[in-house]
Amino acid sequence: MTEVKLNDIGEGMTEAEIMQILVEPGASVSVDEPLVEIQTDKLTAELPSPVAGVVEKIHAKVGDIVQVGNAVVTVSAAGETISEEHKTAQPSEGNSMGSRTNESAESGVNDELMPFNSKTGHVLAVPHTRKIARDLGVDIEHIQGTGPSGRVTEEDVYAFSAHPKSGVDNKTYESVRSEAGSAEPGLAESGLSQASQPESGALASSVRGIASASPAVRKLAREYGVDLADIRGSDGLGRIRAEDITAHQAGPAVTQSIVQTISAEVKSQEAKSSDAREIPFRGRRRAIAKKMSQSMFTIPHVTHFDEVDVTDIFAVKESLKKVDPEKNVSVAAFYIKALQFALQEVPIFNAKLDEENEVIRLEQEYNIGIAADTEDGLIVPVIKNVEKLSVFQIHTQMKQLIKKAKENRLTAADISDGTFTVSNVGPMGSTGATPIINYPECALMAFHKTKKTPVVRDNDEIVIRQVMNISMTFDHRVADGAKAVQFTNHFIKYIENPNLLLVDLG
Amino acid sequence: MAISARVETRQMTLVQAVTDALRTMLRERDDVLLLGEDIGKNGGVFRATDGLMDEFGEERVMDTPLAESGIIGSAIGMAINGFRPVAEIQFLGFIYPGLNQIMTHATRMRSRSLGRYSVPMVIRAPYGGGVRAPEIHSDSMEALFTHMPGIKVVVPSTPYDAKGLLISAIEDPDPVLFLEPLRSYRAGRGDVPEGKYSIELGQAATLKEGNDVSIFAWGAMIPKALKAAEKIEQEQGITCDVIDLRTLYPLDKDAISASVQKTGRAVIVHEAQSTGGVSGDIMSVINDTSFLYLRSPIERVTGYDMPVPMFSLEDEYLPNEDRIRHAIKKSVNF
Repeated sequence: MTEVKLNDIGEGMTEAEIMQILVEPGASVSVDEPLVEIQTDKLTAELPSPVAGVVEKIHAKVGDIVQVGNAVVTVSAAGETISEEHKTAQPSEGNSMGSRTNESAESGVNDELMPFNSKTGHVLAVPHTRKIARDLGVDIEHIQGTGPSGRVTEEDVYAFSAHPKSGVDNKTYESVRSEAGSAEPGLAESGLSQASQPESGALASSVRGIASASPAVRKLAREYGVDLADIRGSDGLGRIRAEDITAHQAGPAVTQSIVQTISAEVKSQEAKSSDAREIPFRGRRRAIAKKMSQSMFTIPHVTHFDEVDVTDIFAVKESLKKVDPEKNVSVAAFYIKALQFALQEVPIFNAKLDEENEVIRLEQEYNIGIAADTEDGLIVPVIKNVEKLSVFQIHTQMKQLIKKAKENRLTAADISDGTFTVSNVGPMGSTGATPIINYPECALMAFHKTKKTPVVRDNDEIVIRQVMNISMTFDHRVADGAKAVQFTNHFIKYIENPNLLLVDLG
Repeated sequence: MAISARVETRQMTLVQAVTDALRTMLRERDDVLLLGEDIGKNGGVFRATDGLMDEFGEERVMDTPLAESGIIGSAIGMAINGFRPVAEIQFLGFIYPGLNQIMTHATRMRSRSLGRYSVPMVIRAPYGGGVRAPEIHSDSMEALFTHMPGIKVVVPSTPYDAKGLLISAIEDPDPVLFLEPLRSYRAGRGDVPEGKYSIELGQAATLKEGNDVSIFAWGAMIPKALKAAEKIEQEQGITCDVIDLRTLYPLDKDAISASVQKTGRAVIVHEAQSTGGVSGDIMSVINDTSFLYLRSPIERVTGYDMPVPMFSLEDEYLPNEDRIRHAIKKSVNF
């Protein structure tokens, strides 16, 4: 039996909600076949089957909150069945094995066994099993035991080794066993190493209890005050890299809730529940709330309002469309480019405050998060390195990210490392807001509705222009109002004089 | 061309085989002497030296006072001076007054004299329980001696081995403690070749072959281990290697590791107390040579950590077939 447990799939999550159950008891599943869909604070992910086999039991139902480490589905591995057959195929061993099971139950000799030692992270296995694993080039710590108290059995090792992912496609316990030379120890010292290596990376971080990281990375984590146990390594072997620490530091990307959203879970809840006034406060909604409170009660927020004449940007957009219909770029992409230029001129808003070390860290990359409204609430995918992207590239990436957000397909990488956030609520309406900063960033800008407005020019001439309100919230610990005005002035300058964007393009 | 050899054998008990070995060596070598309490006229408490004084005379088969220290000390003196004395201690439990002689002189003479002198003597002592003997008569204190560097500890379990091993012990250039399981003295008979033959010390014997568990035992535990192994094979199809270690110091590490590496499991049976028992050394050999082959923890079936009790409770103290079978099952079902 293999218990498929909820693993920490990133950023120190502790629980997840079951969104969908994709298999039924009795169903055959192959390795990596999705079993359930879960939603964590930030992401939706599928829990794949670590083994090929038959679904024995599903421990949760849709809507359940499952804690990390708890079993979600039990799958009887194909290896188990095969090994049983193998046992009965060999009369001498078969006899004894058959009766051993009964004996074991009778005598209760396994009572003294210690269960899986979660403290050390070591799996239980007798030395002989460990030797087989070593000879087969399998890391036994990656194997889920099916023996008494979760002990890894020889059969588990052979089944794991026969795992298609390991590159020994379609090999059964028996064939691997015979290929390995013999189950009889001492006879097969050589030649065993030919058996393939399993893909260790994918499983490593989920099964191992001990974080793997180099001393330098550990030092970095200590400097940041980050617990390595909370971080998922991304180097393919589950090892934690420096980037993982900084990504973790950047924090989950959730920003202010401007728009009332009704999540799918709420809808379904309302349909089922007779008392429609109760909305479950869970999942992303709760994560947003947590993040908002953290930001609001940590950062002294100040919001500064202004208005921008976007007529010329709209004109540029229209003329571009005429030149090449393919280059139909949304104005938001121009805003983001303009923001990058403004941030370069007033870098204090592309920064993070490291209170512990008493440092304001000016970020060298311009990673602009875009608040996206989804069924389940607000989420902030990040356009990375805007300084290296053209307006058109910004536009393309923005579209892709928003699409992924709507489809709940964002990955941890998509929503990490932001340095500044924008919230484009203009298309929906609104004239002003007091956005909450996407902690631990320092500032955020909301774009409101663009409307035709009579504008009095310097020569007292009244003209009709497209005007958009902006709300710019900043961390008053890091900067003061004057800086914020400076910053918005730069932004307005670029938007009102689109040619400057051309001149300043790097 | 077929080669055939005819060996004359006689059915003997273990104690008769001991006598036969002594007689053979007394005949073979003039330097062999026997000494001990009542071994002469009386033929020894278990009749192990019966008739030898008549045959070889008082100068070669000597009755001594009831003083173990004196017996062993005298033997040491004779050994250093060119004899090959065989001293009898009536029961192993009586040897304690002689421990000082063994530890201080017999075991370290070779080392002390930088190899100039050796002590080619044998101490024979019946040991072990199961015969309803009074207090101290049933002790199984072999581990006291395996812990003494410089003395070999040999325990036969069959008449054949008793003769062959005793002859080797007498011919050994260093002191040998030869422990005779008194329960096995007259428990059965076996074919014993006439004349001189020897069994190399330090070599274990595989009495039964199997694939699931290795059982290590010696002396009077061997018949029990064999019976338990046969029974469990009939009942459950579990097959056992039954290995008679025969020499407890030095242990046959090769035999131990070869068997454990074959079966992956081990059960050690001895009637001595568990703590500090020879089983600990066997476990250490397994650990050193065969750790990676283990499929289950090593099991021990031993006496309890207490003096061997009075005879009414003796059967509770001694390992029996059921306890051995339980240990085998536990080992296999782990």
